[in-house]
Amino acid sequence: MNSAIDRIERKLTNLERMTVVYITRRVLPTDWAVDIASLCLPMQIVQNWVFPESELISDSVNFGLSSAVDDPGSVFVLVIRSGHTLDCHGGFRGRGGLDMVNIMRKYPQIDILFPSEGEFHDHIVRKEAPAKLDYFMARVSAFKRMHRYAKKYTPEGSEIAIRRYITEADFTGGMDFANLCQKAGVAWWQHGGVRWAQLEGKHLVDGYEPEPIGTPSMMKFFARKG
Amino acid sequence: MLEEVTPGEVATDDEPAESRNVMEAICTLGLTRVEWAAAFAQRAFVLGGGRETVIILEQTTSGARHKAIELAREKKTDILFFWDDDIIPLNRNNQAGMIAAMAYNPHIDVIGGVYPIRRDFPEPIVVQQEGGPAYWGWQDKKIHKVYMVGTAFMAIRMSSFADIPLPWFDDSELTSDDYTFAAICARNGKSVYIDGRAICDQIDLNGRRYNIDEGVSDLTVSKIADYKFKELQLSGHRTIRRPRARGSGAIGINGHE
Repeated sequence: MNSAIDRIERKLTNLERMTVVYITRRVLPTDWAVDIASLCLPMQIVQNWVFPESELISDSVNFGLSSAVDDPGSVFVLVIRSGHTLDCHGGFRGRGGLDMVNIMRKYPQIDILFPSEGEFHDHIVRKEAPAKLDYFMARVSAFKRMHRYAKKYTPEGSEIAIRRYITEADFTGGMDFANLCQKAGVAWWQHGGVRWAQLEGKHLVDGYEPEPIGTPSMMKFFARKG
Repeated sequence: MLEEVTPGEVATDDEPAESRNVMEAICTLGLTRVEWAAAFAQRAFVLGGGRETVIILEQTTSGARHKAIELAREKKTDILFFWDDDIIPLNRNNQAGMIAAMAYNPHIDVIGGVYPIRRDFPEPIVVQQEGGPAYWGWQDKKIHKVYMVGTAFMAIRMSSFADIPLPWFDDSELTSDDYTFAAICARNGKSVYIDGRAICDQIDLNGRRYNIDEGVSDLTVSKIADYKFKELQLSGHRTIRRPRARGSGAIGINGHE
């Protein structure tokens, strides 16, 4: 009886872990924090949240991705950059996060999945180049395949060596990550039914304006020695 | 082994469970810490009942509380849960546990979590008797009846307060909204409980964190104060220990990094 189950070669439990890499600031608007907390993700998946901080965004993302790779149970990794700068305040609309995970589960050929940034369409399509690297879901095994090409480095101010999957140039149209993925045979896909959009403060109560309050300068946290 | 197939026995109908639609009101001046975001994102849900999250931007604590109460009344919410933007529960199940405690115990009108005052000597904001000192009896992790709890991580059964007009809170003229609400409860015969499982930290925007077990972590106090902390014994045989070194790349939450 058991041999029949063995041949399915599929775990019958939902013990896959997902590392959520949240790139943000130490101090962030409360409504952004609440919106990100309200991401609709599957209940059955164990989440491992990582909040890396660094002066360079690429260091933060690389730290998060390396954490996912080092986590023995992580199958998926979700990168979110929100609240890091004023122009990156977004989230999956509706059940988007849940759909992204479910599609990754259903189609093992998808290595990296981006949401749509434009109009909805009913296809999951191959992309020739990565979309905005502020938010994507990926299979951890895809990053392990890049290890031959993604060398380790130690970010300035850190004592931890991590792999350089993404460079700072990738956030301004660079092709380093694209080339790395091509070498490792990692494919990008886009989910046309999931949209990442700027949030609109839907939790805010109308008519109440916050009073400006003194916030410690972020530079204080990231100041270099000497 | 196969179970014997029988028609089964139908139990009598159970008493209907208490309704538990929750409105969680985040009282804030607009900014919070990423540690709070992590704790809020990981909060567990209670099975059954609706949940609505509102962010109340207000200049004063009592103003924000009253705005939330008006909203809860308007939406006929069963339980109003205040969760301020500087309160970090140390266990993701704390909020769910408090809501469950309230749902299964109809005699509880108010239940609060344990969190410290923002001082170098971080005593818990909970008092068992009017005019009494800080109460440490919650350390047995049970739910205790008290006189006052901190209102920043607290659930109110709205039906119990249906006939009590506002204001319930007043933080003007150096009074505390915690104490004014406790007085309202006492005057109207409402029961207030502390959940000894729900232990929280308070955190400042600059990252200074107030912790009942470990004293003030990430602190910048003088060496003299630090020395006193090492020796200081609290009631209930607790010792405030030296803060742990911090500063790893990832922020830990609930013991995981």
